[in-house]
Amino acid sequence: MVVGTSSAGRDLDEEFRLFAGAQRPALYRVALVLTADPGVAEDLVQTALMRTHARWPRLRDQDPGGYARRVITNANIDRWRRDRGRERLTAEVPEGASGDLAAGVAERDAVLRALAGLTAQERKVVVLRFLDDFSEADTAKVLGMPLGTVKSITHRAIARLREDRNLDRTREVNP
Amino acid sequence: MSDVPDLAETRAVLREFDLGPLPALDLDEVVRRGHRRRRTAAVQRSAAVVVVVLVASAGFAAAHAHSTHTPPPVSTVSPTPSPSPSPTTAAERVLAVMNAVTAADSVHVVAGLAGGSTLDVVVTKDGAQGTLTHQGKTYTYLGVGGALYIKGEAFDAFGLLSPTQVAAERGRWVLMTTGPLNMFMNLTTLGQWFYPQNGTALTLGQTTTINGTPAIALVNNVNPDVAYVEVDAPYLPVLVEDATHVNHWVFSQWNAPAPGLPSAPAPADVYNPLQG
Repeated sequence: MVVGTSSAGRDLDEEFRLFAGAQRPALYRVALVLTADPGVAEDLVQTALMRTHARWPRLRDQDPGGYARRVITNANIDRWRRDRGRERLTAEVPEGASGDLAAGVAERDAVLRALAGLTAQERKVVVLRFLDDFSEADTAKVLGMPLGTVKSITHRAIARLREDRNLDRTREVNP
Repeated sequence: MSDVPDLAETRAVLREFDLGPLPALDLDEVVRRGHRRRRTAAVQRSAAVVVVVLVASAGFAAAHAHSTHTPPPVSTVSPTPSPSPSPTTAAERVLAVMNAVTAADSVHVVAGLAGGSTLDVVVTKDGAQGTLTHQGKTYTYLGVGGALYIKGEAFDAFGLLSPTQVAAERGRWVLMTTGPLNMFMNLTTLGQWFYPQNGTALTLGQTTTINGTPAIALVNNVNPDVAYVEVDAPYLPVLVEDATHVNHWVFSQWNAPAPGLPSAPAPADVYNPLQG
């Protein structure tokens, strides 16, 4: 038999599909902030959902959303290590995120440009601090770095975002 | 508005910026890949758990079991073991042990491991059969036809599979296809278990008497574990134990008549976790 085709398996799959549908936007946001690249973010979300599904029988009663977010973070670290040296820190945002004058697109474009100006490490801290609402201490624990380092990275990331004129323009458009 | 966004403002921007249309997602493919990953992971974990049960802390065994080096066929190392001179080095001793194990007809292996797990198996030229106990549960262990099977609530007990998979394997033989367990398949694979990763991994230690048998220690230089093998021909293994003496393997009843092996389970009675 093929696992997952039984009645219980179908129920679990259906349950997972509901979860995936509900969580996709939040997961995509995390991935997008981490990578500043819609294409990579999409891949990370798919990877996270696939791995979450693989563990669904155990995760379903725990915190599958948290698990999926951790997968995104870890998979992005793996990607970053794999591509180390090839990733360029640039204000250039992949095509598709710009070129539209609609306010939403302009805002997204600005945010992604600002995030693209951060280092991968800064984006990790930003995700934990601002999307996951982790305290500085918890962020330090999760990332395995000293508290002072988290503080300085946070400060630096904020400063860089603050200096980003694109983000400033967004705030003017969308106060 | 201020040019200096505070933390709350940054948080709000990151949480609320328009994501745009979500990329297309093939959820069916995600589910398919998830199932595939679940099955593969289950097999890997089950193999790892059983290996832990069988060889975990016995570092001597583990050092050999985890070797990716394929040992040479025993017969080509020493085609005629009986008239060969006594082994004087650890390397010669290991080859002699391999020859002796491979040439034997059967052996009874009893392992006691940390946590109360045990293995009690008779290994012959053609296969192996016995029982494995772990956390109070007993599983049937069968090596036959070049494959290894475990029957019982193995996966259930180890909590390795989904409820669906547990239901599917219940009452059937679970095919253990991974390499590390193959050492217990038959006497050839058991002999290869003693093959070190390199010629300097072992040194000869003290001579002692174990269960009435004069034995010499083959000391693993990497892990502080010892294999005791017969001093005199045919140089069969007597005992393997780790430094704590908790994890140990006792080899006895060499060449005693062994019960016949059953036939390999019919395909319908076999659950292959890789295939579901």
